[in-house]
Amino acid sequence: MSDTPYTEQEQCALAALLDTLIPASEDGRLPGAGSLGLAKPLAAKLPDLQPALAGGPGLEELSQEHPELLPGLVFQTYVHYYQHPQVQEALGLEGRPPHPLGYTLEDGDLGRLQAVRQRGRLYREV
Amino acid sequence: MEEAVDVLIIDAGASGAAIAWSLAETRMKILCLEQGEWMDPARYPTTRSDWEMERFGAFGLSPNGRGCREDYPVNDDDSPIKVSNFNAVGGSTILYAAHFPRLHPSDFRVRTLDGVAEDWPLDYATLEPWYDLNARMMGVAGLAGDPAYPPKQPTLPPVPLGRLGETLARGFDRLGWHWWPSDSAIATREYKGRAQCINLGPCIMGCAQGAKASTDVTYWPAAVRAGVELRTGARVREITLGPDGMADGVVYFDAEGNERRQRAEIVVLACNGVGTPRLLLNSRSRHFPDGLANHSGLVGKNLMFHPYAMLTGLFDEPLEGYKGPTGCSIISQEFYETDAARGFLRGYSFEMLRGMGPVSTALWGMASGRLAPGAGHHEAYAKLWDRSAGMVVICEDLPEEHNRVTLDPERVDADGIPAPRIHYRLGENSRKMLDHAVARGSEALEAAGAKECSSEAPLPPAGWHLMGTARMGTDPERSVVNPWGRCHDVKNLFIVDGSVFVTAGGVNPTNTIQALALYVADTIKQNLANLFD
Repeated sequence: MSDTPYTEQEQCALAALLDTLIPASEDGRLPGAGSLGLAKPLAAKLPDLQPALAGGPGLEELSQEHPELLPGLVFQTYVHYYQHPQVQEALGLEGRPPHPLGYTLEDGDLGRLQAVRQRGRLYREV
Repeated sequence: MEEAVDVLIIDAGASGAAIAWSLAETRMKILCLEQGEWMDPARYPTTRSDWEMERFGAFGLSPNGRGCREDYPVNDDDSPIKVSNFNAVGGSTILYAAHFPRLHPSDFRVRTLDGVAEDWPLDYATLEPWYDLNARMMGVAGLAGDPAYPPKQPTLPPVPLGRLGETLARGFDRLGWHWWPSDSAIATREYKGRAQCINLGPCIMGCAQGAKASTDVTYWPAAVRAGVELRTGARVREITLGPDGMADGVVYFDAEGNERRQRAEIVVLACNGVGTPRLLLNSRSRHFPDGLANHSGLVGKNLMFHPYAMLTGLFDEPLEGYKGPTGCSIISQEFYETDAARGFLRGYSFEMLRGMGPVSTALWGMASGRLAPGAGHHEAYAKLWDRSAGMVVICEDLPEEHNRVTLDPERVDADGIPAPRIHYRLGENSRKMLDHAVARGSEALEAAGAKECSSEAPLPPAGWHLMGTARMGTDPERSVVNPWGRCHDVKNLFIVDGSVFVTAGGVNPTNTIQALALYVADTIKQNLANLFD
């Protein structure tokens, strides 16, 4: 908690806002955005957000008093939420970058190309 | 003044790499000046958890968006299609999707067959051995027997279809339309020291595996081993002329911004369809007040993009679309050859894309109004995540002189060199073709099972194929270079990039650009004794 520029009160306000934007799923599989420790990256991306957190505004209050902040807050929340390993694992991913392990992929059934072949030449002779 | 070289190649992208490698066997002293640097694949985005956001940063497609020192700005305000490129050793092959189709035989005879544009001064059969050689050098995955082409033999097995590719192929099958595994410059097996593709996903942010055939991992290592000097951080300002009217070298800026002079016996331009006319137009002299090699007045004119459409289908079932090479599953050329009954001439290709990563899914959902924050967010996201399949349309653009590259009167790059400016209007034929393609593409997605389709046409950021601005031909009044890339006006100046295309075809041009570069190199080698006659 101490490596963010926010006070404890501001962090609580931010967490509540984030949980409103992306609440935990009803089945508990996906966490709420407020529980993922996103204060630090959001502070870095949204320097104007901190002063607006004074007084612990709810989402409606924030959107009325600082409407200019909302699009950036939603965008950055989506970015940092969906690249979080915990969320990715809940989506069925492995919560890791693609490299170096990569993925396996089915070759697919190329036998069905027989029908394409049978329709004959498609290019124009010159 | 630096020591003179025999051959000076400007830019180290797709074509500069190919011609450098080919000419190396002559033992001439060859130097390539590249404004960018070598890339480090270990630092490509897919090695990090925030990889999806790099498309907005240093690995974005637009030089204006990246704004790196090695980039030059492009004023494309006057164009619905914006220029994409990349400046590094490897050029735009660093970010390309590695689709590697060839032109069709008919593409070289557009005037004869369809009465529009011009014929090329060479044909498919002339380029065929150079396509084959390029396939061996780059490593092309694919499947022989495609009825849309004359026989050709890929060097590697095709890229896996995956669940997504199979799903889309079913749609084409149901309609009785052509589809085939894409020719892809991707090592589906270990190939010439390159590791096998492991289906990372976003080839368009650089391949950390080294499986994708960007020329920094294909031609360049071989060319450098053969003695070619590649000097990075070197941006050419102008090509200079000697008293005999021949090119005698260039003025360039080094990485520290110092102005330098390099003399050469032969100069080869390989800067793409925007960078090459920019440099020619910046090289004015008493002999060429309107730009070097521009007695025809055609330098910069006839700019062709491929107008793209992007279609996205949403399916009910998971498609595993986040796995596998971005663009390389299947291609359809059902509507490639001219059928005047469609209301337009020439044609287009469909190329299937993969799906989106988790962040891109969320941002696309937000931008398209499908994903709001708050209650219901997760239910909405579940309908999008791993349920989308993309498909692009590549339309053949016809050459029109009013579509052109000029110099911007105000914008300059970091070295103060005037930037290019794009003037482009979508032609009537291209508009009709896009409309047809969006309708047919939606039909294909629905036949594959898509419950919802959306489209965008033309696709604004799709200005990655840059062609036609110094076209080849036999008539010096109607073309800039001769049939083997030599400028009509300056006989030791060659052009080997997409500028020389006479028409655009309806496929990705990199394979043809490189085949042409190899053909030009071979012609130079065959004619060394009387090259300037």
